[in-house]
Parts: sequence; structure tokens; C-alpha cells
Amino acid sequence: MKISRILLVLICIICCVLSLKAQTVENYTPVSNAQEVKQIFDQIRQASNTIDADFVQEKKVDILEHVIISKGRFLFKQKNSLRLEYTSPSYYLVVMAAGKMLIKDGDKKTKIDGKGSKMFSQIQNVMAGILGGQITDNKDFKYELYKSESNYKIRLFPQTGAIKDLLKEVEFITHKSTLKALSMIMYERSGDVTVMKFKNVKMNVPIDDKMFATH
Amino acid sequence: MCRSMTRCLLLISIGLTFSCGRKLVLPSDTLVQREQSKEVLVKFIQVERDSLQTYETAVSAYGKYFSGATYFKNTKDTALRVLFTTYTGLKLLDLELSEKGCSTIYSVEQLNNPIVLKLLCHDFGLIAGIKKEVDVTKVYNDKEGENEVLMLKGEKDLYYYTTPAHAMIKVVETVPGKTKIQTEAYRDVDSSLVVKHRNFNFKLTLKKLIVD
Repeated sequence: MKISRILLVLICIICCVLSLKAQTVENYTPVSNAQEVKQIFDQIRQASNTIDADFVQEKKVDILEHVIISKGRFLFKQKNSLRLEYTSPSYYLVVMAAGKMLIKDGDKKTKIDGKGSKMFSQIQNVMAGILGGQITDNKDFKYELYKSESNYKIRLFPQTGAIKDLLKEVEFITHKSTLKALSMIMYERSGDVTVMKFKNVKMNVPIDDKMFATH
Repeated sequence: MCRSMTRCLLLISIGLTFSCGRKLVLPSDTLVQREQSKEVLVKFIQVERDSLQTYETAVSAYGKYFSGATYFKNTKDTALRVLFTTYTGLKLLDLELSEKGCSTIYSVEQLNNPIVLKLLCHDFGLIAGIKKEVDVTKVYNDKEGENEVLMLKGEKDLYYYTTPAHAMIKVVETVPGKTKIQTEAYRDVDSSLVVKHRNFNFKLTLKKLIVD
């Protein structure tokens, strides 16, 4: 009697866990209709003139058996201005705008002119592609678009240059109705996976151009 | 990134080929305490079994500068895993330091050059490793007579400056028999660890991070 009661409780717990898991797993189906694809990317572009969000970056490395966590703030402004500011566990800033890049690492500032840099233009292309809705025009990446009941998922497959050597795939997930960025997942050639989860996402809010200064 | 790294590789190769350095001067009143002894060597970075240590890492070579984070994990009792990534999470280098030496598990194509990998293996191996007993040629006392200098003769001569409790103070590597300093590893004033090559412009700096 006692054993059967324990068994029942265990079954209930398992059912609860499974149902919770079922709620969080999204069933994605591919969007292949060209017109629908264009429509979705147009919606994303219009909704993301600017993005201001906090992020938590989780890097999973099997051998370390630890998830490496970094935190920071993400700013984006059309067409391809980006500010990625890591605040934890250490300070690190990357700003990309108007073909230039600034890296601030502690007191050290590095300025890079992106002209002639294939990797730089590729990174800008990814940003403009995902957030600017120009992915369909991009030759550096193959893309696949999926939708679920609540989200859109864009899978990008690098085709050229150094990014292809480093990354197997980049996945970007956005909320279907609010079009808010939810997460970005980088699948490395080495097998490692880095997940960037966006929080406190504010879309189309004014962001001062000073935030994207590269000098 | 590729072009600047290639240029660095070329300059490092030239530096390694035409190396020269300043001389190591041991205090004149040093006394040899022991000869041909076995001593426990505890390097700067020691990681407990299954725990993880994180260091902010900067590599500067011939005016070029790369930074990121390095993770040290004692995966086995006999090996230490060293993982160097960019802050954005991309893995650049994965090494294993063990009693057998250093092996490269993974490196991005831009670092996949035998000279650079050997150099990084050497530098990480100088400051990090498993606590172990080593064959020491001579053990000196330093000038004040408090700390010890362990001399290991081999392919390169190594001088480990340690406290009596075997905590590492400084490591000096010299050309065999000539006491010309090639590489130094030490703790800087801001407590960061520095590996500096005297013969060519290559410096590795690591600063420990306290992670939540």
C-alpha cells in the first residue's frame, strides 16, 4: 500500500516534469514560401529600428562540465550599429558602426577600420541580415526560417571566410507577436555551443548615437 | 585578424631563430642547500580536482593585442585542461597539460601553427600544471636565505623561485650553461601573472577572475 502510494507520487512528479518540458519545447516548421519569408523579415526590420536589451551569455563546454556565464548589455540601431558591453565577470566592450570597430578591454582601446576586412563585413552582414531583414540578399550565409506557435527561428549557415571556419551555425529566435529578440545560439565547429539570452528587451526606443561612437 | 596574426607568426619565428637575452644573476652569497634531490613543484596556477579557475587573458606580440578568458580545469589527477576563448565565447585554443607534456586538443585555424602552439604550450606550462615531484639538480637559498631557488637542468635550464612552503614566486628560463634569460614568469604588482620573453616581443598576461 505504502509502495503504491510512493509510486503514484513519483508518477505525478514525472508527469508534471514532462508537461513542463512539453510547454517549453517549441515545435518549429519551415517557412518556405518566398512571399511569407519576405513578409516576416519585413516585420522584424520594422520592429527593430533599435534594440536595447540585457543579455546573459552561457557557454557550454562538455569537458569543463561547467556553464560559463557572462552578462552585459546589447544595443542595436538600424542599419548596422552594434554595441556589445560585457559587464560580468569582466568588462569588455565591442562597438561596430559605420564600417569601424572599437574594442575596449580594461584600459586598452583598439580601433579597427573595417574596410578590406572580410570578417568585419561578414559580422556586419549577419547583424544587418538578421535584424535588418536583409538576409535574403546575403551571399555569405545560407538561411532557413522556421515558425512555431509563438516564435520565429532563423538558422544561418556561414558559407565563406573566417566565420565559416569558426561557426557551423548561428540560430536567432524572436517572439512572433512582439518580435522581441529572445536568444542567439552559436554552434562552433569545435562542438561548443554559446547561448545568448536577451532580457528586458526594449524595441524602437531612442538610443543616442554616442553609444555607437568608435573613437 | 588573419593577416595580422600571420605577420605576428612570422616575427615570432624570426625572434626564435635569432634569440639573445640578458643574463641571469644569482646572488653571489647563495648557498647550495641540496643537490640531485626530489622536490615538490607547485606552479602559479594550481586547480583542485573538478574545480574551475578563470583568468582574464591578454597576449601581446609585436604591437598586436589579443584578449579573452582562459579556463583551467583539473580534469584528471594527472592533467590540467586549458581553454582560451574570446569574450564573445568563441573557443580559440584547448590544451591539455600533463606529465607527458602539452597536447593540443583544438585550435582555431589562425593559431594552428606549430611555432605558435609550441610557444603557447610552453608559456601556459611554465605557470600552470599539476602539483608533482620533480628531479632537481640544485637547490639554492636566495639572498635573504628565506626562499629557495630550484634549478632544473635539461633542454633549457629552469630556475623556480619558491617560498619554503613551495609557493611559486618567479620562474626563469635560461639557455643551458649560459645563464642568458630567455623567459620569465612572475606575479606583477597588480597580482596578474606575466610570462615575458626576453628574446622577442611576446607577452602573456593572466589575471584571476572571481566568478559568481
